[in-house]
Amino acid sequence: MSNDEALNFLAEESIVSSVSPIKHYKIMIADDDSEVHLVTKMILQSFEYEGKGLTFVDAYTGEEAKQLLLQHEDIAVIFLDVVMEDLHSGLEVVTYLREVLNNQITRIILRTGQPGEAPEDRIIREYDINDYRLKTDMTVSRLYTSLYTALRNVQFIYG
Amino acid sequence: MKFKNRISLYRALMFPMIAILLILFTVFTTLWQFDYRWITTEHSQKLLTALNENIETKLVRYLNEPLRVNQMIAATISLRKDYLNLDASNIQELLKKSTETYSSELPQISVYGYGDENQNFVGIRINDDGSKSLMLKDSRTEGLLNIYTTEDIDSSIVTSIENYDPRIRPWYAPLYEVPVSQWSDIYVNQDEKQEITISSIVPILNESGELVGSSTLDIKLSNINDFLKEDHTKGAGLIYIVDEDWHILAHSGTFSNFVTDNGTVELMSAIDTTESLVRESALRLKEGTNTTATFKQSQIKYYVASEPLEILGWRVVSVIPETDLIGDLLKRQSMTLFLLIMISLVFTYLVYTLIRKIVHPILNVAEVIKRFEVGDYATEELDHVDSVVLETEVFIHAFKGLVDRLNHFFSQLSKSEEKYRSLVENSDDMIITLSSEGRLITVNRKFEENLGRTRDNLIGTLIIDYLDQAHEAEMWLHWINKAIETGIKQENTFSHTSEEGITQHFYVSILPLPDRENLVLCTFSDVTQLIEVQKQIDQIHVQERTNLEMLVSERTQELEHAMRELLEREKLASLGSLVSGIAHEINTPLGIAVSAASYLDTITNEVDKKIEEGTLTKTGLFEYMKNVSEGLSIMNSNLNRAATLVNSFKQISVNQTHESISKFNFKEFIETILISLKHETKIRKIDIQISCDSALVITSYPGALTQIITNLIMNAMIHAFEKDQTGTIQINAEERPHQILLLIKDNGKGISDDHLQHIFEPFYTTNRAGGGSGLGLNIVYNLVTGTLKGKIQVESTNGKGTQFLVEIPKLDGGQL
Repeated sequence: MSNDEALNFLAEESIVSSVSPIKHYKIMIADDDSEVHLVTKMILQSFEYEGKGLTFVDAYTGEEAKQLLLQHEDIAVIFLDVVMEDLHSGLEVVTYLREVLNNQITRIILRTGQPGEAPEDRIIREYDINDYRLKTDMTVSRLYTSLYTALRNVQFIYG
Repeated sequence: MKFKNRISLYRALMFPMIAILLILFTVFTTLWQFDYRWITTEHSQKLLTALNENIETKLVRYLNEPLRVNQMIAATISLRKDYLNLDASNIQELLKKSTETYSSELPQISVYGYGDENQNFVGIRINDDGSKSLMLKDSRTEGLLNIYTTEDIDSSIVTSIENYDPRIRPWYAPLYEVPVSQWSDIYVNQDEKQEITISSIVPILNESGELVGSSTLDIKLSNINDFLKEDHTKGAGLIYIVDEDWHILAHSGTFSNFVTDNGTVELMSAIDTTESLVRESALRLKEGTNTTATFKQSQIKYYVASEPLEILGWRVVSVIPETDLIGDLLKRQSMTLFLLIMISLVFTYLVYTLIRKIVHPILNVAEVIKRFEVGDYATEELDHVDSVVLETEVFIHAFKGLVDRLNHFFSQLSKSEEKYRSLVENSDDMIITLSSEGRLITVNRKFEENLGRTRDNLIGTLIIDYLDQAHEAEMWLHWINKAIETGIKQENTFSHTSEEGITQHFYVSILPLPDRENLVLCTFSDVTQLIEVQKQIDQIHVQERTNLEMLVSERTQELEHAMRELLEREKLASLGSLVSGIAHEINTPLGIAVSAASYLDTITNEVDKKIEEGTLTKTGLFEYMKNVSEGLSIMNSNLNRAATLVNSFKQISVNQTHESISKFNFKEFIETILISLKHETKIRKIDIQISCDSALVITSYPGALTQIITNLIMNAMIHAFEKDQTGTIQINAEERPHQILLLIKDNGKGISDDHLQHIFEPFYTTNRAGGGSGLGLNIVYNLVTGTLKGKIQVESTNGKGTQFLVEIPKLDGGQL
């Protein structure tokens, strides 16, 4: 086959009645950078765990994140930026979720651009969070791994 | 002290108590007196009268009973007409029976007798021993009156009396005058016993009413005495009977009240008798009109009452001593009074003792206190004071404690006074006391030595006599008076030059003595040496100060150096913080790009796989293409962001010393910058105006200025105005002697105070989502203050706009 052959290898469309998952895992993305939201959703658009897909809740500031957490009790995982409207917005969200809302179930994946501002060991020790990622480290496979781990935990807790 | 008008405690207590006791006595005795008087005047008189009446009643009965018997006998004789017989044996028999019947019932009757016109007489006498003797004169005795030993006519005759005519006897004769029953006068019986007698006489009359005989019953007066004696109501008193002429007829005493002399009776007068009770009572009754009286004899009070007897005109008098009448009332009263007095005395004594026990210790204490005045503080005698009362004991104890402490205090005081005196005397300073006119009162040894005179010569002289100059005298008097008037210590210095020409300097303190008016204590301290030393010290000070100043300037330099180092370090620290900010800012777009790239890699691998498997559908391919396009777009924009950021960082980190300085026309320079911004400004509706002298030429760092102006204009365009908003940005430049004032001003929405204070901080941005790095104004600040060594100020009013004022120092030729 020559290279400029038309793309005739394309398979025929098969009509697959895709049974959309009855239930979605609700994921919150909290970041002041809209590009982060964009790329995260793009990567996770086809993510499924045990036959269930994802829906997203977007928050651009810490305050907004707290509001939305109050409204959506069933959020499974939060991708949480540390620095938003101020240097500790993300950590305040953690405290709010765990202590004010007394929610121990929702998994928190902390994302930071600058590890110096929020060192990993201290953060995990002092704040009840489940994963800690550098922004430059968020490749597809790592994002998937993190999310699988988190959702498995959620499922385990839910029984 | 004036104690004279004060009374002592125990007088104050004793006097009222004794007064109360006295009043009680008075009231009691007065009441008793009243009682007593009532009893004596009212009660005792009544009692006495009752007693007297009782006696009288008895006496009347005593006399009337025989009369009744007599009348019976007389009636029998008269009825039987025995008086006709010359032989009186019938009557003898009658009388004999009568004696047998009545002798025990009526013992007062001594003789049952009968006489008649025939001169017959029959009498049966009852002797003292109870035997009876017959007395008879009738036809059988042949005209003689025979008295027999018994009542029997056959018994032997004791006496025979001749010529006895009963008709002339006092118990018969009165009947001739009045032939009725009556009492005879007192007479003497004409028998051998010659008893003094009174007789009850009853006439015996014949049928024609003529007197034919007399029946008589004799009562011996001694029998009445016995009767009175037997009455016990009189007690230790006396009852007697007198006739109308106050002759004593009978009485309860043992004395004899009458005499007989040859058959006649002589009664003793009650007035004349030696029996004092009788005499006194009789006198009282006779003199007084009352039937009662009282008199006192041998300390005994007697009550007298008399009552006339219904018969015979007699009078019964009772004389009763008080004790018998009202018992021992008076004695008991006295006894009670005595007891009361005794109890009061004992009570008074007890109270007195008790008060003494209380007062005595207090007086002892007072005595001890009194001795304080003469300096005797001994309290030993209080150790032996017997204070039974707790409070007094506590008081004394407390007092002793107080005195002990006082003693201690005084001894310390005297010691310290001694010490003070010795201090003054041996002081190296001259110490003197002065009167208000400057006369020496006391001086110490040092003063003597200094003036070379003994204190005997000094005391009393004036201080001003020892002064160098006359004007000092006034000064001294002024000091002294000021000290006295104000009461405040006066301190002065004063010099004295001796005859040898040696000058001494003194520090003088003049202290008013608080307890001694118009006296001051004057202390001279020789400060000559001190002044010398002071001078030396002053010299040393000058030297020291010079040294010190040098040292200070050295240290200041060192400090300044240290401070510069510190500033450098601070700069490095801020650089560190800058680097971390940079990392954060760059990592975000880079991370996004990494994610997007890995995503593209993933989906491309999937598509590859599908192509190989031949399962790639058209839809799948379009999907893939769309995702690749999106992913590339994200990568593109974020890598651009990263690149822009790196550029900005490069601008900041440009080494400022290497920036070149040049001389250029300022207006042209600004216009060039605006041209370079044309691609940004042309899409906006912002009018940019330049106001600058076209001849203004300055020497400065054009690179830095380009960045400053570019950033300020871009900042205004991004933040002051919305995208389609119209607005004005003014750029004014003015020349000053040493600097250029550059004003960049917009009429946009302004900056709030919250933001304004952070505006020059690195990475502070309100537009992070829109791609702002927060570095623009920080770069401006660093360039102005660092490279240009100028100043930058910002002012903003919400809704009206913001202006930045930049002062750019001129760099003259020297810097080129």
